[in-house]
Amino acid sequence: MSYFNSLDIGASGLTAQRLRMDIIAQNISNIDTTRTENGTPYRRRMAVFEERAADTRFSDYLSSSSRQKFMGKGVRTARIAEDLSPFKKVYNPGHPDADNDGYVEMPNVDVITEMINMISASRAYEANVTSINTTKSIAMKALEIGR
Amino acid sequence: MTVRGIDNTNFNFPSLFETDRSDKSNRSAFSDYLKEAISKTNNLILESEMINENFTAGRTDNIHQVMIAAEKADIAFQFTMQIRNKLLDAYNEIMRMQI
Repeated sequence: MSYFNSLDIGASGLTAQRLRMDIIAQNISNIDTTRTENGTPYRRRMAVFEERAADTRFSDYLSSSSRQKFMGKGVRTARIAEDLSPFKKVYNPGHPDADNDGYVEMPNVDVITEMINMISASRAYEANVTSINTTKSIAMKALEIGR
Repeated sequence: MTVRGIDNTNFNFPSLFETDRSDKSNRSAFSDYLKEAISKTNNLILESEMINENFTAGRTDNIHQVMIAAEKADIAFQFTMQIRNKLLDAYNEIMRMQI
């Protein structure tokens, strides 16, 4: 494992948090979307992350078993899942999308939840940047051996 | 017991020849190692330039990839400079030896 592997792991974390931020922005901007292309209101989306294991090539198995095992390669997005909780029903008879009882189905996006997720994504991004900076300072310190 | 004189056909030192060959392979391996290390550093710098160009042209918007590629190139270059310093120190040490 070289210093650069640690940098790549941090980079994968940054990419994942940025994707999560994109999804949160999408959710917030679609908070009043009552019709999408498949007819239903907008469903809240969320990103599902999973650990990216080391590559499953044979040479990597050989090298990892000789050096160390269980060293992953960061995070990757497994899929972007839709939140299956029910839509919110709001009484609004004048709305074009109201049904026979006057209720409109609004997206199941809660702006408070999205704001908190946004803070979490931002802090996770900063934590990844700190880890990358620390990796670089460790590498620079290694150069001072014997100076 | 007959005493045979020393002649050319008795001199057979395969072991000496083998160590000679292995010394030569060690020498070439070290210079190849240096060349490979410098070419790796060069590749990192070229990759950083390419990612920079992609970002400026708008082909990607992963700004953190730009920064991380620049840091990788910087680290690799600093490593190379330290190796160069050590080699120069060794050379100067040798030149300072009084005959």
